[in-house]
Amino acid sequence: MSSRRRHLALWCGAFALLVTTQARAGDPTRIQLVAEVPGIAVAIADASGEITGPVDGIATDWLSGSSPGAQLHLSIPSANGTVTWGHLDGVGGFVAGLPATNSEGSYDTTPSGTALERHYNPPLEFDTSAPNNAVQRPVTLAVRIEQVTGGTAVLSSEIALVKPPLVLVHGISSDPSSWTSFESEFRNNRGFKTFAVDHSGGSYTSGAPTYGGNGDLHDCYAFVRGGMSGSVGIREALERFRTGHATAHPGQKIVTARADILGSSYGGLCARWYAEQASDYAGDVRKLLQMGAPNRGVPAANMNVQAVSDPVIANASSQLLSPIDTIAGTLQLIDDVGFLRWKKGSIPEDTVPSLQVLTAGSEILAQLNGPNAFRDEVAYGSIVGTDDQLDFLGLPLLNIHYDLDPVVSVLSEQKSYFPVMPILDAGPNQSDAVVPGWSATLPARSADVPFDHLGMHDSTTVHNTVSLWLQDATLPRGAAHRAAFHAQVIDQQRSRTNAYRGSSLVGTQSVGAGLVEDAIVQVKFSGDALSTSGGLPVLGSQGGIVTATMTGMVRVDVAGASQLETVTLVNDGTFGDTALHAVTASLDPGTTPQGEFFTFSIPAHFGRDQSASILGPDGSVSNFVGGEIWSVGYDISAQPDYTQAPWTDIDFPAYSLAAPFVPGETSPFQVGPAPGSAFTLEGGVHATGPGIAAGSQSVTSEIWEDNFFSDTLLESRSFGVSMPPDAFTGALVPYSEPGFFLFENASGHIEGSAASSGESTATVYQFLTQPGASNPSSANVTVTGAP
Amino acid sequence: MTKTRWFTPAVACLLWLGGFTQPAGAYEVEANSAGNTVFILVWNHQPSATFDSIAVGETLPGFVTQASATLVPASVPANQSDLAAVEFDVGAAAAGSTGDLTLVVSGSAGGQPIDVVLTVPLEVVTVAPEAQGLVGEGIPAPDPGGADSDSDGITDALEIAFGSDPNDPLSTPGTTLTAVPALQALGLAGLAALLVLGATRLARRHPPAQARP
Repeated sequence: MSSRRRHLALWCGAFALLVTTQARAGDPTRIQLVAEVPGIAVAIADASGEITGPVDGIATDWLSGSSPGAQLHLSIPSANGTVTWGHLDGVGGFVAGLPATNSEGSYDTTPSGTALERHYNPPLEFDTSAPNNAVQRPVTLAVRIEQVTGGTAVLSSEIALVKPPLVLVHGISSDPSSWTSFESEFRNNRGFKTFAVDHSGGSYTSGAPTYGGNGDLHDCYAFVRGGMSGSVGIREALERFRTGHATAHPGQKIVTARADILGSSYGGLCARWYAEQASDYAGDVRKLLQMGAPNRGVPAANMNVQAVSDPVIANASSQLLSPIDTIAGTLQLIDDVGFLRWKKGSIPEDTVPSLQVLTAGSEILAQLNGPNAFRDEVAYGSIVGTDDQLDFLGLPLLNIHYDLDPVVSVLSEQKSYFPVMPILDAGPNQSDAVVPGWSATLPARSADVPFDHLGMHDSTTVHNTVSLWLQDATLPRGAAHRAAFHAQVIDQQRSRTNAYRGSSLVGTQSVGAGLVEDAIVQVKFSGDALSTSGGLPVLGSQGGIVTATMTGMVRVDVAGASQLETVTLVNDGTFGDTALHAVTASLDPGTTPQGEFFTFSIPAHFGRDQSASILGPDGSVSNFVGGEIWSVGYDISAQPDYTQAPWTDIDFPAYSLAAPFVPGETSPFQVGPAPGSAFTLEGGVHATGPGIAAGSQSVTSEIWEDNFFSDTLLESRSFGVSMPPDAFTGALVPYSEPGFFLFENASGHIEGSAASSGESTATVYQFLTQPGASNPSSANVTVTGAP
Repeated sequence: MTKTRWFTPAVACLLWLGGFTQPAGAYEVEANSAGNTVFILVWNHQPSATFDSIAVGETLPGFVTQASATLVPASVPANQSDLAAVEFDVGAAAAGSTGDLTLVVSGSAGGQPIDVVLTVPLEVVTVAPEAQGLVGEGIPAPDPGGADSDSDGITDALEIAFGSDPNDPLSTPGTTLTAVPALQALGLAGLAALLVLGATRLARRHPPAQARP
């Protein structure tokens, strides 16, 4: 190869190498672009206008369906390109719109329809995936502008999602301090901002209208609403969210339209009244949870109310302190120690309004639970306690339906005036020891928890349930609750609605509750011959027919059909009871359904004889030693035998025939010349049989002068004694016969129509002659001539 | 001279147009090329807020092996501009390969985050132009405090580098880009006629073709 060829080959190789090298390493290029930062900003404001200026977040206070809450108004002033609203994902990338799952909320077009504005609706719950204990959760809202000059601008703004305010409402005889530990848990560990309403009036002994947390629903609801001095209600809670108050989200303006409520016991009714009945309801309740709330009342309240007006109940012993104290005394003791306020103050006749409201069958509860019960735009849930014994000194001891059962103790035996009271509690594990489960339950959403009425505030189980429900988008709303509540079948064996006299509204106050008199198992005495001594009814020596009205409750055998029941008036005997009067009566149950109880009132009769024996048409118990205090009750043949009446006492003083007397004068009686003075002879005549016609029971009553050897008949007359239709053989029936004249004759001696006593001072007595019984004599009285 | 005066701006505009029709398609890059650069004129239109806390992020197509921001301004005052730059390398790729390089200029103005997303479509070719996009004279370089003769917020040096008239506030980088897609739709014939008719004015707004690098 020549040198020139070698050079050519080298050059060719070098060229080939150069070409090859150039193929592997390309030349860089330069690209020049513009990134335009738009001269606008996203403005985020409160769509309602409650907050002026920019806001920092929004409360998740919506419910599913047409139940809107707070809303943001997003806007940009202008856009040089196509506008798309969306959000930033977890890595900061723009995503058009918001997730269809609603986990981040949703956009609505505004009424203007312009692309430059959107309404932002928060998700239905703070965290739609699960309960979340965080205080806040960020969402980055964004708008994308595809600029006509090139590039896409994304403007974003992070907002804080927060839970709605949680407003807590205490129960009767309580105050916000009952929520101390609850608030600590929910504020510190569960991400809620809590606000405790104070409808106590600030002190346990406060007067109207709060009465230490015992106001009428017409009064206590206003504290839930807010705007009441010294108390934080919904209105204040919302305002604190909107202004960044230290007790809300400090320094952050949170758009908030509605609050959640948790009402304990009566507080749950105050909250319901505000949300469902108040004319000034502001539409600011999202969820209303209850904890042991007596939606259908507390039957024991009827008894409490009755105790202030009915001596039978007031003076009955309480199971709790029997036989040491009465129902009234026990309630007063409870009132004094501040556990339960039950009287307004110094006026014993007045029960605090809350207990009137809580009576079964009260007019205000009927209104609350009527056609407008449960607002559609509010979701509800109820927590129901099933520990039926309140802890006392660390032990489960108290149940108000058992321990305030009015009873009478006779020797070691206790009988209740209201034997259905203990089972109004609904049975073991069917109440929280105060509120029966059937009253607290909301069938559309309730949860049973094994705690008593006072133990729920601090229960982790309750905390978990409340936290769950406050973040549960499926919590049923009012319409579902209303339908289920009205369809709920209450076991009347547990509620005994026929037994209660509910309160009625006078103005805005509930008054007049108690028990239906017939439902109180007792024997009530009536009759003209009765008097009273030492608190006891007395049937004196003249006798008389006593009507013993036997009241109580009996179960309906067949709905709509009268039923025969035999109720037997009995006397308490040492070795067994004696039937005095068995009455078989046809009782009308009215509209009471089969199997439920209705009240009855059946009259029976009893009387006495000359030996102070007690006797009725069907039997008697003899007494030969003088006076006696008899105990009378009744038995009923119906089953179950709930209605065995407690004993009611009546005093039969020792028998004596009344001495002759001049009405209006006292012994010694002074009589003048003929006709003299008209003496009246009184006493009781032994009835020879029932239904004796008036006047057919003929007796002879006489005035005799008492002499040492032989008495002298001065005056005598036979007359008929009117027999009442319910008289029966052996009972003394009173008579009072006037017109027996004694006068001073010309000799200065006391004389009657039959003879002269021959004495200027005569010692006289009455002598009764009657058929079928011994003829008694009265004590002596002295008769003299007038000076 | 008359022909030259007519012809020169027309050719320049056609060249200019040729450069700006690329974004509607793709920017060309060469395989196995390192040190490709995207210069980004960051123009803050905020009337009173500084665009600050700036960062530039990249999302790469498969044939771009790496990219990194080499120039990021700390902030851009209101109604002003500054320069950012991203360098990227292209790996081995067959000619005709395409993909998007996405650049995100992030920052905040008045406390509100603002991202500007630039989607840069790339196509691997055998021979790529030295410069593409809003190309003027010279390679852009930061010009803090530089003169801004027309007070449009872009310094004269950057206007020149990005191909706009530093003395005309209505002439800004990218302004004419908006018309390009529409003009494309009209067809090259119609475009040429429009350019001929507007040659005199365009000649006043763009430097002569021979001045382009």
